[in-house]
Amino acid sequence: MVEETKYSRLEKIILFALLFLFLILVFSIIVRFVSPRLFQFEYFAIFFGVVSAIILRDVDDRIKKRKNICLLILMPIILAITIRAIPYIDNSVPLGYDPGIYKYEIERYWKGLPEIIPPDLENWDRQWSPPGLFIITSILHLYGFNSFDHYNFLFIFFDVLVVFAIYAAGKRYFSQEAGIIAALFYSVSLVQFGAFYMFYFKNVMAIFLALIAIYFIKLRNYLPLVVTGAMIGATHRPTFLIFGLIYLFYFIKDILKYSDVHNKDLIKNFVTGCLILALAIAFYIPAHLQAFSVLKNIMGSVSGTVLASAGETSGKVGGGSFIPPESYQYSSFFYLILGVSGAFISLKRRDINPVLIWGIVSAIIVYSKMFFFNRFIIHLDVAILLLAGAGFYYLIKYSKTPGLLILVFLLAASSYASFEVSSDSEPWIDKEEVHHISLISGIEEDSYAMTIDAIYSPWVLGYSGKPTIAPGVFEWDKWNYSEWKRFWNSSDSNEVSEMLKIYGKPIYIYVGEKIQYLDNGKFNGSCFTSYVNRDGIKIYRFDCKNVLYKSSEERLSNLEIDSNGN
Amino acid sequence: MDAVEVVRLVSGGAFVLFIPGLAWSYLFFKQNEIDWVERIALSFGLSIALVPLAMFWLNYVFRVGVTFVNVTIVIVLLILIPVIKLRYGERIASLWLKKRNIQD
Repeated sequence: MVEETKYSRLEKIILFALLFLFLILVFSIIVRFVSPRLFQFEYFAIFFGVVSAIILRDVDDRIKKRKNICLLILMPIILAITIRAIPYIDNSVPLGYDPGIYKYEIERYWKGLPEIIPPDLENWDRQWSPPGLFIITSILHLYGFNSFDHYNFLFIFFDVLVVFAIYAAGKRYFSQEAGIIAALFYSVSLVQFGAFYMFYFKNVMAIFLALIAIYFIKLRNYLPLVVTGAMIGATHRPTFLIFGLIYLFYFIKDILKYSDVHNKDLIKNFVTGCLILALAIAFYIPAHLQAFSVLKNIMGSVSGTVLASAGETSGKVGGGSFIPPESYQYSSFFYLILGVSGAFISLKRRDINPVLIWGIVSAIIVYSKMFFFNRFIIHLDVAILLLAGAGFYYLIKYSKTPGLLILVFLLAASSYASFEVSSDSEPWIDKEEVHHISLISGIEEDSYAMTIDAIYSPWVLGYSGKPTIAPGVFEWDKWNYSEWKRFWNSSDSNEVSEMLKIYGKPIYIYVGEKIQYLDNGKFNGSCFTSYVNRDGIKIYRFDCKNVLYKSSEERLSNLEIDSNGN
Repeated sequence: MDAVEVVRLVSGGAFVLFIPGLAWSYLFFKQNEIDWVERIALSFGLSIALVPLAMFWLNYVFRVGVTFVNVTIVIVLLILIPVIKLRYGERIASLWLKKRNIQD
């Protein structure tokens, strides 16, 4: 007995010595004494995870019923709202690269009403916009959501709503305390703020639904599981892929658990999985049937999304636009250590739950760089957050006061980092540019908009409302890369005019203030008219037929007057 | 945004994204079975899943257009189904059983 006490004391010293070292490191990083890039947190997390799984193996995790503890959820909600609202103080332009495409798609779906999916979607549209989110935005449009600003608020709202779902899933799989801790770290997670900053609307909504779906998996509540699971498929295909893999592995685990294949639960699980798949596929049939065979579309959906998101045209599968796997540890080190610890403890206890499977599957995709791996970091982070909730919970159960102090310290450090990043966050383009792009909308019905740099593609598409010619994206672009290069490098207006003639319609060429490298001499020919030239923003109208309708001529001259400020 | 617009957006948003799920959450979980945070999460989750799914299938199978009137009717029905089931479920079941017994 004496031996055992000595041994457990030694274990405690080792555990807290490791954590103390880690806290010193975090403090040094926060005060900018050292750079986080000097350390390999992933290796330390695995080492700590193994050690903590051994030491915390026998922690009593029986859940005590506490009623008032859920009031603590107000803390992560307030934190999440504040951090996400800071970039919108004195700024009305949505954050990220994607808002323009979302604006375009949302309006596309409105215009298609009363049809639920517009029948005339272009191919890139079909690939980019799974109907789930846009059916909701169309329905909300009928109830007064008629400006993109409303949907921007809705996005902030959904991002905060994930706090509730994280809590619910954490509570069901680990404990109420674990749920609250996971929600707290979600609200100040730099990775999740990154997803918010990049305006990954579909992704955020699908993660919310996935959390609700795994909540129902735990309770074996099949009907709501079918509807939420199907809706994930209708909203975001990569999340559906992850959800499908979680469900599959969980099902396999159940098969191994029940030796009888006629077990009622197994049959129900199987039927539920089939129903989810069937309902999710059905969302893609009406709009896609013309262009693809259903099977090809479903099988190729993930890689299609990958290519579309990565903006690649070569057919090589890309990683998607987000932080690379190598950088994940530097954005998540506040909770990564305890997240990995939570995973190891679950493994040690043979508790193979969907949260753990979520973490393992995402980690494999991310670190083996399979496909879309950068974007799967968002999923990996959600699983790590939930497991961190469990890790902290076990630690606090093991030793309450030091455990709580460590939690408060890491939470404060993470909040500080998030507030700093949030206050430095700015939209990709400023209000002036959005205003000038909006001026192109509705000028001439039968015309194109054009951006000469991919950075403006979503914005010009969304805010001009016109078919947009942009390098390498959307299907209106008729040039290959070498033709674009010729266009960029040319200073001969005749050569450029000849190239643009293939579009056969007037083109409004937007040259934003971020484009400093272009020789604007190419726009000096007779086919070009300069309509806006102000503060580094230029808009040229190209038309070699000189067809200019009277009404639009008037509008354009007004535009010129307006842009000159007279 | 003026106050009227805010009220319209909040009430419209709640009608589409919260209330149907809230009603269904009571069908799946009784009053004290889950806490209020879970109830809120499930209400939004179920609404976000149920409303588009119902509208999609109605549009796809029966060509029901997505108009203000149709969507309102569908949402009201979605709210009423669990309410009726909870309020009159047992009575309906006992009536049905009685009828079956008479037939037998």
